[in-house]
Amino acid sequence: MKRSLLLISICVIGVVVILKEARIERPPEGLKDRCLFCHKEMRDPDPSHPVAAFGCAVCHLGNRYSVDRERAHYAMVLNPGDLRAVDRTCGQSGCHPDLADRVKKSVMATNKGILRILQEQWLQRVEENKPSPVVPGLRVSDLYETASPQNLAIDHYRKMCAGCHLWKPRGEGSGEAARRGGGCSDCHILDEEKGTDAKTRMTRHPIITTRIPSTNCTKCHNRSARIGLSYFGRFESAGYGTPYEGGGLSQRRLSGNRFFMDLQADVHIKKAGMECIDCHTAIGLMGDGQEYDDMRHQMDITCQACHSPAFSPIEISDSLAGRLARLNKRVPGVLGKSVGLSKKGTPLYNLQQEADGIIFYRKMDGAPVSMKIPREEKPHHRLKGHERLSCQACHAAWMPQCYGCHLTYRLSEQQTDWLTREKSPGRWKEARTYLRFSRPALGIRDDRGVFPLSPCQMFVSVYDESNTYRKDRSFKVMNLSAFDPHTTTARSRTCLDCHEDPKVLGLGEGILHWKGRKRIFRPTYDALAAGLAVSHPLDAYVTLDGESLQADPATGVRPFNREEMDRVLGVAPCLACHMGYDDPIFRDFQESKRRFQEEAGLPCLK
Amino acid sequence: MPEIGIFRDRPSMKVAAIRGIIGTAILLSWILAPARPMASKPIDYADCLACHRGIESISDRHPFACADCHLLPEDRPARTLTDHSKTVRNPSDPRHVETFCGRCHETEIQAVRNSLHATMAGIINQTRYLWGAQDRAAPGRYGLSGPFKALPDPQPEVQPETPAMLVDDFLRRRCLRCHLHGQGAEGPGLYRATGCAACHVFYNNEGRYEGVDPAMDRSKTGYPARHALTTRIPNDQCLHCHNHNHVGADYEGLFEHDHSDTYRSPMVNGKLPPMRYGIDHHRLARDIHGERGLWCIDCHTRQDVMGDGHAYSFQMEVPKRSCSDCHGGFGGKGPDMTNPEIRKGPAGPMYVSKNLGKEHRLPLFRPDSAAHRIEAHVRVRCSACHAQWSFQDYGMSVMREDRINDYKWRDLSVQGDPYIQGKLKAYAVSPDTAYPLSVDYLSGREREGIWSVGWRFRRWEPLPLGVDPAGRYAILRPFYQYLITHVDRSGAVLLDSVAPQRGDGAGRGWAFMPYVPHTIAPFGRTCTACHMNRVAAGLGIQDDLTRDTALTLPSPPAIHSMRLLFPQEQERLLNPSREWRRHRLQGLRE
Repeated sequence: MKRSLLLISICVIGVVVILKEARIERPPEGLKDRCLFCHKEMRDPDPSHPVAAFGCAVCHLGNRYSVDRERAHYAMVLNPGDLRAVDRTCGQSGCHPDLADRVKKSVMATNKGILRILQEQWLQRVEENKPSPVVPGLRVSDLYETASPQNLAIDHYRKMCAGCHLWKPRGEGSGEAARRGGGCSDCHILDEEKGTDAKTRMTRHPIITTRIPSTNCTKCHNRSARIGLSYFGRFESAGYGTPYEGGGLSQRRLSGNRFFMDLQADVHIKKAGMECIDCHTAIGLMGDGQEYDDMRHQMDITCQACHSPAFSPIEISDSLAGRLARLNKRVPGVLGKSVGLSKKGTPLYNLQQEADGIIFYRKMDGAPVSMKIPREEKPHHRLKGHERLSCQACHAAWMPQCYGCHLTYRLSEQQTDWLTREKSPGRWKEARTYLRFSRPALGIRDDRGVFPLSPCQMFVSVYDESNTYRKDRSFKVMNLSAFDPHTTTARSRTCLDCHEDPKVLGLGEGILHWKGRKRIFRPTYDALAAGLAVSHPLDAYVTLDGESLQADPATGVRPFNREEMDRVLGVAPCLACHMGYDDPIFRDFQESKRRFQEEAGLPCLK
Repeated sequence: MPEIGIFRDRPSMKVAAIRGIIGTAILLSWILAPARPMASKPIDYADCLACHRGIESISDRHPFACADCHLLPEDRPARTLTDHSKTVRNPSDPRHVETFCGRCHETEIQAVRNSLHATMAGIINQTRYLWGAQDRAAPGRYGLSGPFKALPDPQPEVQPETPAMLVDDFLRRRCLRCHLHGQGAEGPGLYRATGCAACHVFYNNEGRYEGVDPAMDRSKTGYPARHALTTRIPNDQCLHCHNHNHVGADYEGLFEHDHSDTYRSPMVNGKLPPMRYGIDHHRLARDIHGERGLWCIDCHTRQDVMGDGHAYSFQMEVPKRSCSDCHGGFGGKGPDMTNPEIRKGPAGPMYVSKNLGKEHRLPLFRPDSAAHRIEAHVRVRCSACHAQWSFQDYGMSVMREDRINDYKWRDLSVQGDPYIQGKLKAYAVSPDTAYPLSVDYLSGREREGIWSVGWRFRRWEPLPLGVDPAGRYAILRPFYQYLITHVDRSGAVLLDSVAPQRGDGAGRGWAFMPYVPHTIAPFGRTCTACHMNRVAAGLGIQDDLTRDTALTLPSPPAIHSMRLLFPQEQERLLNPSREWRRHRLQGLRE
């Protein structure tokens, strides 16, 4: 009896299975995987990843053998570029394993620099008595773990900064924020509407590209240093939304209820139409396999790489330069030619030495840009005393500068954590004192080069659970950063622009009065009267005595010291007459100065 | 809206019916309030001092009975007053000044009536000219008093379609809140009286009474600090009007913050400091005279402030005490020793300040200093070199809306006017379509529509040069670069960021005006602050000017006797002579 029941059951189940299977439509043989039986007419994401050859599951995982919706989609990833899946997708062996590994170590994925600086700068100030320990080498991916450190600096990162990094799942958030993140896809996918192409009737698969449009960069790089704005001649305005348009505020908008103004754009876009990736190489962007906690150590490109280039002949077609050039069909091949090299030795396959000079090919459209290489012997680049100047010190036309960033942190309110996507107690809000786009001050980076400076000044007011101001937990962080503002201009600043201007010296706006050998500086901004808890103007980075006011030595950026300022100012008296770089007095300026002081009959004062 | 006080007498702000009701209400409250002193007895309103026991005497020179100043002659014989309704709160108000002060001060009253403080001819005629409503800014045509024509009343039935048709409405609702006839907006820093009392009766910034009159309610705002007339007028009093990015505020080192709420800062001990003058302020270097304790009235004499009887059309026309009157100047000019404030001291002339009578050593013009040795500098105003910073408010966008149905002003309600701020805030939070009303500061009545103002960018660093009516080089400021928008009741955009055209067809109604920044430093700026300096020469702040940075290019002043630099002058400034170069070197070595 029991046995017959069992038999009947098996038969029933068998019949059901056979019937069900028979009713499922079978794909014809020859399909790469069965996904395409439903997802017919899928457009190729790009010529390198043809659907017909690759199928879907090789990238998107899931169960390629099933034609059942649920089973087929089991463990599928919608975005193969997501760093959580990338080892099994883009980074699987045979595809791009080295790249996936590198990208995970790059600063765009780790945000290590931000996390280090924030912890170093904040923690000792937040809790003076027993500061939380700085976790060295902390990465964004560590913060997704439950054992993430909990302190004010990390909370600030989670709620105010963590919306821009490669681990952020694509689509999270809304508007511009939704377009950020997604691992490889963050950069390599073009944003376009989903759906079916009206002409070809193909389902639009998102397009994969290595010719990355700058809009993919600027969706993130539009705050903080604001490089993604400045390069294109945009400056975040004071928020007036002017001029009014159609009875409303201006349409020149940025995300986060911000507006922009138009300023002089970088000469590289204005004259040569270059996009971000024309300079920023794969090594610079995706890393070189090392983990850095300072963005500029990952960077690969320098001005010199193109403007005083070192060339290397390309003889093997399978070399990196050859492969890169093959990927971008718009740029002429490199075999048998010489191409430029970056700081780290990456071949710049689009900077080619040709018979009629050096040609820079734009990566987006392959348009040739003839390069005028400034000859090294030109006096303005060989001036004694100017050895330490970075290109940016003279050629940056302007620099965005935020004076006074006022943060309030209220534990009685809640704010969404970008990483957990959940609200937690503690709400941050930002206000400013003023913004400027004026000529930047100069200072010293890494004790080597003279760079333009921009301030980072945080005044943090903390309010506890009962919304009571806590003076003991409030603090301020004053800092200077030195970076390329991306506002390059062919015409440099003039000699006088730097050698006599208190703002450029780092003293701030005001009157620098010369009284014989004595100098007096009368600053314009009165921070104390304004209620700011600092005794110096916000734009004063240094005093005439060379006392540094706002620099943190740990960042490697400092204003000029007394001796350097004296040297800079010491040239000023001569400059109205001796205006050329090739003027003989600059050949040996110390000797010229001695002659001026001792020799009679010089034309200077006659 | 202003709260109602028993000493308030502002019929201009109320209709008669409301006044009646208020009067009755006040009377009832007096009768019914049991805690009031003397509530048991009926109040004898003719016996003022029964309540106002020990009130300060207005001044030693005005030993009058209360009724002499606070009751109209026709009301004085009636010995029984039943309430305060007949009392004139401010006898110096332009409507009553003739009656009360006129017998002794007829000359002064006539002079003040013709003075720019009363006529506002400068603001009115320049703005009307730039907006295309009249063919010249000076001599003036319109004014609030004196020989000028009265400002036309906007006709509500006429749909304004051009800037020229909107200008009077704009002036009335945004600019003319500061004048002697009206009280303007109320708020911290802005409380003041009208007429003579606007200057001569001191109001503190909170507008609270701090005298000894027991009948005065110290919790209420809008009252003078004391019942006292003064000629020793402190700067705070001048700043009740001369705040915002105008001369006066700069003397105290004030520069307005940007409007957006994201500029409300800093937090001081966890709190935003209270706003004064309807906006937060940057604090910049004060004028050296202010730093040393000199008041506005130390330089601005009675003739200058109250007028000399002539109806001038703009500020720079008014004869004033000059820098050289105290400090001496070119051509061997020494201090004016007839000036009662200047005295001989053992080590040179001394200046006795009107503030505390403090003696200051008077620094004299040094003819031998490098900059003062240059002959051509005779034609340069002292302030052109000695001003440290200036008001450069670029690109003024103004919008009149008769309908608001969005949230755009939510973070932009701070406009330097607490009244407008309150209105915008209210309209911005409501999700419904609003048909805003705002007050006409001349008539005191609310009317359809509200004006909002925004800037492109505001700076204190650039100091471009121009030429004043006396042919002297002076600092210019944008004054202003208007773009006008008008949205009507139906939401139609009748004007969409339109630049006005000047009334004489001389082009766009944008102007830079020479002025005297009150930001004087003890030393001049360096030679290269003007010479070899593109901003000073009027070439703007950057090489490649955009639609925004092109706003730093000066446009011609509204008054024909003023001008921008000629191309030759620009050229000379940018490429100075060999001689100049030697002078500069000498200057740096002295």
